[in-house]
Amino acid sequence: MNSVVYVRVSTDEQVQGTSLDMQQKQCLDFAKSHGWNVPKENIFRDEGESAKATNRPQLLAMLEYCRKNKGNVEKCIVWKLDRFARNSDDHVMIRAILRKNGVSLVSVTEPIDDSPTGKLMETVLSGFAQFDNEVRTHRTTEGMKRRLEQGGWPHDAPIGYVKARTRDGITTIAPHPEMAAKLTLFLETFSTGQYTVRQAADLAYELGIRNAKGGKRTWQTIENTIKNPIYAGYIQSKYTNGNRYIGLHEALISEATFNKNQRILAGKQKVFTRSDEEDYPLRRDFLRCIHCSKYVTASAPKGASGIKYPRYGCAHCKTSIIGKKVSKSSAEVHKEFREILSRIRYKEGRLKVFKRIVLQRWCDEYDDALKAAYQINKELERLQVERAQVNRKFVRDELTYSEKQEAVKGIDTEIADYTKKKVEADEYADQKEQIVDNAVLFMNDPSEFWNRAPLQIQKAVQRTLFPHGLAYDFENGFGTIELNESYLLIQKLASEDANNPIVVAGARFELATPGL
Amino acid sequence: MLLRANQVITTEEARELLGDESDHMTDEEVQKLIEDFDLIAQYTIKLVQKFKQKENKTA
Repeated sequence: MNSVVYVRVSTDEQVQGTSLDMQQKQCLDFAKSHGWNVPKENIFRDEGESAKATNRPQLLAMLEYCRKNKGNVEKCIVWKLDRFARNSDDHVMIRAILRKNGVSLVSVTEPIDDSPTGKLMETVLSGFAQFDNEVRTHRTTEGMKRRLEQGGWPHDAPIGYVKARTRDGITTIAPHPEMAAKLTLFLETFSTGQYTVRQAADLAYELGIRNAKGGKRTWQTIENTIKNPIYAGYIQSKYTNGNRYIGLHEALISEATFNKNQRILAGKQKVFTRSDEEDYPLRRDFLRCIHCSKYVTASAPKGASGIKYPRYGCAHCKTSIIGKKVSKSSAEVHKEFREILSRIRYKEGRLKVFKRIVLQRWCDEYDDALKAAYQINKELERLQVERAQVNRKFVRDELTYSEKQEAVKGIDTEIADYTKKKVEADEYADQKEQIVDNAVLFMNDPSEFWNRAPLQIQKAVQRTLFPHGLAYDFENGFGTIELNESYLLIQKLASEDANNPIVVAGARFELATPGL
Repeated sequence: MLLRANQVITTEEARELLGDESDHMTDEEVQKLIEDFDLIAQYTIKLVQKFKQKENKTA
């Protein structure tokens, strides 16, 4: 009967002298001294594999070999039991597979066999292997936690960064020379609120943010990238127990942008997306055919040259029956609608409501930024006190001149950093009035605003001005003087003074023949 | 009084600001107006921010 040899090293151990060749030689010498035959193909070598994993390719191959050659394999020789497994459960499982196939486990360096004492030794030794592993894991984890608390980053660098070290030797990350700018652009573009996460995955691909094979990253990966506070200069990982620390690395986006993105992901901030509907903002629930009261529809018939000609039309009326046009190009209808918009304004009360909402939304959006500004001010105060204390200690001869200089230098660096952040935070606060005023200014020109806005906003503008929609005559446009009182008002004023806009308050454009 | 999640202002507040006009409006209509204005407000803030950013870059 033959025997098998299983040897394994992790990458670290190769450096420490427990090389594969050394283990293999000792196993083969041991087999030879006991008269066990080990053919060359019965040597299984796992290199750079941790014993924590049971899916090591050569271990699995060895177990498979024992299974297939059941009854023909006598011993499985290892240099040390911890080559097999670093926890008792895995050890017992692998041992059971071997035993089931009639294979005894033999360690070159440890006295185990199938006697009661040998079995006890084996259990104790596998328990020690597990203990040793847990101690190592604990030490590594604690080390990582310390690094993270210091603001370092002991893990792989996320996309947009490369691994780096501080002057003090702390492992951290630094912006990738090419990818960092792409990540910044991507995250800032997402913060405009014009993308869903799936659309953001397409955007990332277009910007060159791709997976290792050059393909598109999944939307889940992209979502994780957007959620990662590391891009805003913070440290958070599974080892920080939910805590977030200020990182030593350079941020790629501002904290405000990061917070905005989180609100978009959480659905607390509107996403303004484009769609095919974009060409027809007046259809569905807004324009009604003046003849039949039904909502108008839209289509884009192709001309002889293959070019599409988008049109609004009534699907219920026929020119042959009513003797009038029942469709018109969407460009013309939009032009007419904009002409109406150019002569109307929101009533004062509505503008007040809008202004209040803008102000409230602005405050929501920058709430975090304002909180950050408050924290920065507190930090600055603390640093000034600390600086004064250092100087007092120097005066009292509790510090030497060089000690004082060093301490002051450190504090001043921190003060400079916080002062820079304070300027940024204050800018947000200063923008408040300006943003509200500008937002209202935009609304003062509904025609231009409507023309530039995406579909969702166009529809909202339409509803706030004409909550009950508008009647439309494909022959004469938006109603006629006889048919529509509000329209008459517009025409009247427009003829008196074309520059004098009408103030409207959600004008009710009643159909002249609502019963039809 | 209608009050919805993440509501920016209440219908009562809106009625106060709207003045007489709101006398002819139902609560649902006021609520709809708030929601539409909210949507427009969020979009407008973004628009203004973009505009400001452009301005800052060219300055």
